[in-house]
Amino acid sequence: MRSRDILVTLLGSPHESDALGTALSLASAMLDQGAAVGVWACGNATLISQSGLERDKPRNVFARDVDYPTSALFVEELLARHPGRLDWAVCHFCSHERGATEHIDGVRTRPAMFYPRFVGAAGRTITVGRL
Amino acid sequence: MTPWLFLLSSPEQAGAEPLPELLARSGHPVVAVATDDFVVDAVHGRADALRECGVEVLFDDAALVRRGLRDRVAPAARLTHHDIAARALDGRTRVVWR
Repeated sequence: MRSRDILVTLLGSPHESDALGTALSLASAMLDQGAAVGVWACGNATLISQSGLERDKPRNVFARDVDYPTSALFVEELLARHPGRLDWAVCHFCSHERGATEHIDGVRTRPAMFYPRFVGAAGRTITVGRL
Repeated sequence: MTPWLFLLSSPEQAGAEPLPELLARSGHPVVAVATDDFVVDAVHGRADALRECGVEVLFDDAALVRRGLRDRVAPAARLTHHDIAARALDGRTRVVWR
């Protein structure tokens, strides 16, 4: 287990508030500043990295020229921009319970009992949302 | 004393326990950054209540913009996500999300 400056634990539903988007933006900003970041996704947050989400959301009829990336593309681009400094893991149990068994490249599925190892390997942990 | 950084996002969670207030009253340097829906509560009085306990209150600029509240907060108190990230990565500071 590589050490990380910070572990961001994502819980709960990704669209119930702005929290998950803000947390991802902060994680991106930390990576931009050279930090090593781990993400552990639990509960409904395991849904955001599914490969089935494809790259863009359906076209907005009021702004046809604008691309709206899916959360999966956002994660994919974060992983690509920061090779070796971002670990993204999803809880196996939460993921399979929701049928989210296929994730984009670079996202690893891990048993829930691995979570303490992720916490132990991080300098600090923030927990975003509730299960 | 340990410096603390609270990222206050949810009005329900942030209001459930007065941890920033208690730590500040105990003499710890405490910074609270209001983000997401909590910025609404913060500009309507919650920030003043935190400040009365000795908490330094700052705001997530993006969250203010999304809610049309940017003009309610002085520029010096508005932080970008890169500003917040730099504070969260400070080696001595304990970071809590609520």
